[in-house]
Amino acid sequence: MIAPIRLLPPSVADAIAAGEVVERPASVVKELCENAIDARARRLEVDVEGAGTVRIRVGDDGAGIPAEQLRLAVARHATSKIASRDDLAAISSLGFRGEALASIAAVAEVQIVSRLHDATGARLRVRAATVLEEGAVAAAPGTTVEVRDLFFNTPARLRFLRSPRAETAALVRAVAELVLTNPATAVTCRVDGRVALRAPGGTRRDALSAVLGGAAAAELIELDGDGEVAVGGAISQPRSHRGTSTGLVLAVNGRRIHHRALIAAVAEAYRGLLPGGRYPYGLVSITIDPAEVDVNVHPSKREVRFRDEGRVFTAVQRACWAALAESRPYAAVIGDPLQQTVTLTTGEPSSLPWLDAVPAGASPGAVIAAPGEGGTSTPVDVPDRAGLETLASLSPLRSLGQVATRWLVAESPRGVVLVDPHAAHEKVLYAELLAAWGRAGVAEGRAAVGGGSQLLLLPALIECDPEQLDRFAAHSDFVACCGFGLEPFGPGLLRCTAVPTAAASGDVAQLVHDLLDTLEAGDRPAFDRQHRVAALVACHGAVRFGDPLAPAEQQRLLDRLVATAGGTTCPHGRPTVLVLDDATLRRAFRRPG
Amino acid sequence: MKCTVSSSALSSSLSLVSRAVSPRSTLPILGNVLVETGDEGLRLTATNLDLTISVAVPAEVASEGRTTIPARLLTEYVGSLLDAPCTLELNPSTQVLRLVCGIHRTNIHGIDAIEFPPLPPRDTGAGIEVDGPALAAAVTQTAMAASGDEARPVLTGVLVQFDADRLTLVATDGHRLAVKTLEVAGGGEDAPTGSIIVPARHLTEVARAITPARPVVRVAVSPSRNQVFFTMPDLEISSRLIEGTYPNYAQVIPGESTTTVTLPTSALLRETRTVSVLAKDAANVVRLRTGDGTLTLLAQTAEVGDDEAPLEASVNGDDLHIAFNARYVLDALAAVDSDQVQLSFNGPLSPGVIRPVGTDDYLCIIMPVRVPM
Ligand SMILES: Nc1ncnc2c1ncn2[C@@H]1O[C@H](COP(=O)(O)OP(=O)(O)O)[C@@H](O)[C@H]1O
Ligand SMILES: [Mg+2]
Repeated sequence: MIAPIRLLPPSVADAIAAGEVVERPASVVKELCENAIDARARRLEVDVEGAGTVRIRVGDDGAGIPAEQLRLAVARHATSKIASRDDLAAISSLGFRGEALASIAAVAEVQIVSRLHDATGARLRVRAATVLEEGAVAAAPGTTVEVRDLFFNTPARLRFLRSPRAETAALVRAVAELVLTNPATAVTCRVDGRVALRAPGGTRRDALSAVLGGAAAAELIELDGDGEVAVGGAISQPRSHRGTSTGLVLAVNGRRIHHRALIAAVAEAYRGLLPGGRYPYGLVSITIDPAEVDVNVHPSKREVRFRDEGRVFTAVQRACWAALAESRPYAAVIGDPLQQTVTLTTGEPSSLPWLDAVPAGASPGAVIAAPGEGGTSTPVDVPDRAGLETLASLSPLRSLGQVATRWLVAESPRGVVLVDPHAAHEKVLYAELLAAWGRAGVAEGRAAVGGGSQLLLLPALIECDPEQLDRFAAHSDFVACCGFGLEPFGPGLLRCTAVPTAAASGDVAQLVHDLLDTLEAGDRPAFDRQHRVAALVACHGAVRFGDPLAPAEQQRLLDRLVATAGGTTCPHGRPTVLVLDDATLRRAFRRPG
Repeated sequence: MKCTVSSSALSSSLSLVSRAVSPRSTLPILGNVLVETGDEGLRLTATNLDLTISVAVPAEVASEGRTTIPARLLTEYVGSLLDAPCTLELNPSTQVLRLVCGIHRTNIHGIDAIEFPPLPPRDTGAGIEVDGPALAAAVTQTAMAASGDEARPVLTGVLVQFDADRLTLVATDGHRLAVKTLEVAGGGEDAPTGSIIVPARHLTEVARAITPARPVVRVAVSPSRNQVFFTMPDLEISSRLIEGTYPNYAQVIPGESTTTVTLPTSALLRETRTVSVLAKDAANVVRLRTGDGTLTLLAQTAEVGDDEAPLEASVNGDDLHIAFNARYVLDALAAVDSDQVQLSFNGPLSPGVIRPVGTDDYLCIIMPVRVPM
C-alpha cells in the first residue's frame, strides 16, 4: 500500500543534506522521472520544449497522488517515502527529501494532474509557490506534472544556463541514464515534438541498445557478479573505446551515481587493454543492501557513501575483470576492393548520441589507401561483428608462418588471424609477471621475489643522474621484489647484479635506465607502479618487432597468447591480433556466402 | 670459362658457401656466389662482408674465367640434379652461365665478377694447426653460451686465446660462461699470440664445415688483427673480428665449493629435459635440491602443474636448494662429453659449475635464478 505524504518533523528534515536541487532543466527532468519510477510507473512520457525553459511535461502511469494530498506534495519536506530518521539509514526509493516538487514550484508554474487507479482525477496549479487553481478533472490513471516558465522569477539562474543545445543534451542524457538504470520502464522522450529517445521497456540489453545504438551495444560484455554486492550491467569490449570518460554510467540500486573510486576500479580493470587517452563505456549497476549505502550526502542524491567502500571496489573490479577476460580480438575490415581502399578499423562504434557531449575522436585504426587514390580513403561501414568471438575461441590457433620477419599469420576456426609478435609476446610476459608478482605479494611490499630473478655473472655498472638515484632510493624495496638486484656503487653509479628472468636476455643497462625513468617521484599506489614496471620488463623481454621467429617459437607464442586473459591487446592497449573472418573475406572477394 | 665438375661435389660445396650469403642483403651482388677457375679446379666464394667462405671443387678446367651467379637459385638447381658430370660454360659478353648435365641444358644469368666485393687478403701463412674435430667440438661446447643480444657486441663473440701450447675458447652472455681448453702443437715463432673475439655465429660455421676429410684446421690472424682465417685443405673461412675488451672471465670462476654432486651425465640431461616441460612460464626455472645420496629436480608453473624427480647421485657437502634457467642447464649438460658430470655450488646465490669428470679442460658456469622457494 502506498504511504501517505507527510511533513517530515524538523529533526528529520534537518538531517537531510541541504542545498538547491533545481539548478537547470535537466535536474527538473531527473527529479520528475525519479518520482514516476518511485510510483512504479511502467510507462513514462517526457516532453520538452524550448530546452526545458518553456515547458517540461512528465507523464506516468504510476500509483498516483490522492487528490487531498496534492497541496502537500508541493510542500517543502513533505514525502511519502520516509517517515523517520531511521528510514534515512536504508533508503530504497530514488526520492526521500520531499523537496523536489516544492523547489520546482517555487521557480516555475507547475500543474499536477493525478488520478489513483480507483478514484477520479484531480488537478493543482501553482506558480511561484502560490496556488492558482485546484479541483477535479478527468484524467487517465497516473500522474502528469507539467512545468512551465522555469526560472521566470530567478533571472540569475536563467542567465547561468548553457546554450539551448547543451541544456537539451543534458536533459536527454538525464532521461537516458534513467532508462539505463530502470530498464523495465518504457520511456519516450520528445524534444520539441520530435522523438529523441525511445526505450521499449524490457531487459537491460534493450535499454542499452536504445541508449547507445545497436552497434555500440553489440560491443558490450555483460557483467555478472553476484553476491552481497551484486554487479550487473555491461561494459565495452577493449577493442571498442571512446574519446571521453563520460560514456561510463555507474548506478547503485537503480540510482545513477558519481563515484571516483568506482570509476577508478573500472579503469583499473581496463589497464593495459586500451590505448592511451581512450575510455570504456557502458553501465556498471550495483545492487547492495540499502543499509550499506548512504545517499543522503548531497541534494542531487548523486553522491553516495558506502559503509564498506573497499568491498564494493573489489566487487566491481572482479566483475569487470571476469567480463574482460572474454574480450574479443580486433577485427580487420577490408573495404570494397573495387573501390581500391582497404580500411583497418579498430572497431570504433558509431557515436553514443546521449552519453557523449563531445563527439568521439576519429577511429584510431590505420587507414591504408591503395596507390592512385591520392592517399585518401573512404571508411567503410563496420560490418556486423557479432560473430567474432573471444580470443579463446580462436583456439586452436595454428601458425602458418611469418611475413617479412614481422607479422605472424595464423589459422583459426574463425578465419585468418594476423599477429604482431612483439605485442603478443609483451602481453604474455606482462600477464605472467603480474600473476607471479601477485602470488609473491610484491605490491604489498613482501620481500619475496616474484617471477624469478636471474643473477648476473658479470654485474653491470650503470651511470645514473641524481633524479634517477632518488627514485631508486624511494622504491628500492619494490624494485628488489620485482627481481632487480640493484645497489648504490659509488657516486652516480648503481651496480646491477640481477634482473627479472623475463627480461634476462636483453640489454641490462638500458633496462635499468628505463626502470628508473618509470619509477615516479611521487607516492602513487603500488599496484599502479607494479603495472608500469611489468609493462616495462615485458617490453624488454619480448621478441623485438622484426626479429625472425622459428616455426616452433611462433606456435608456442600463439599457444601462450590464447591462454592469456585480455590477450587481445598489448600492455599499452594496442591490438595483438587482427581477425580476418570468412564473412569479411567473402565480402571482399565478392564470393557469395 | 669452361670446366667440368661432378654435380654432387658442386652441390655440397654450394651449400657450404651459401651459409655466407645474406638472404636479405640490400646489395644484390651479395646474394651471388663467385664462381671462378683456379689452380685447384673450380673455386666458389660467398661473402656477407663479415664472413667469407671459399671452397675449391675438383674440376677439369678447359678455359679460365669467373662470374657470379645467384646463390640460392644455383644451390637449389644443382641440388636437384642427378649425380652426373656437369659442364659449366660462361658467355663472357652476356654473363650467361650454361650448365649441361644429364638431359638438362640450362642457362642462368649472372652478374660480372668485377662487381663482387674485394675479398680479404688470404692467410699469409702465420698460424697454428689445430685438430679439426677437436676444434669443432670446442666450438659447440662454448658458442652456445655466447649472447644473442647485439647491445653488448663483445658478448656475441667467442674469446679465442692463444698460448704457447694451448688454445682457450670462452663465451658468456652474462648469465653463464663456458671455457674450453685445447692442446695444440707449438706454433713456431710467428704463431698468433694474445686473444681475439670471433663472432660466435661464424665460429659455428667453421665447426659445421669440419669433416673427417678436413682433419686439420689452420688458424691465423691477419697482421692488422681485424680478420681471422680458418684454413682447411680445400676450404677457407675468414671472419671479421669483434673489437672491444672481453670481460675478465677468470675472476668469476669459483675456486672452492661447499656442495658437490656427481652423477651420470645422460641421466641428468634426460631428467632435466623432462622436468623442464613443467617449467613453462617466462622464467623457465628448474630447481635442484641436494639430499642424502640424491639430487632432486623440481619444476613448477602456477596453474599448469609441477614435477619432482629424485636422482641417485654422490653428494658431498652442505644441503642446497638452488634454481636455474632450465635452458642453461640443458645447454651445459649437452656440452659435457664425459659419462659422469660434476656439479659444484657455493650456496643458492652463487654461480654453479658444471664440468666433466675425468678431464679438466672444460667447465660451464651458470648463475642461479632467485625464486620464492
Ligand atoms: N509522479 C508521481 N506519482 C506519484 N506520487 C508522486 C509523484 N510525484 C510526486 N509524488 C508524491 O509527492 C511527494 C513529493 O515529491 P518530491 O517533492 O519529489 O519528494 P520525494 O520524491 O523526495 O518524496 C512524493 O513523496 C510522492 O508521494
Ligand atoms: Mg522526488
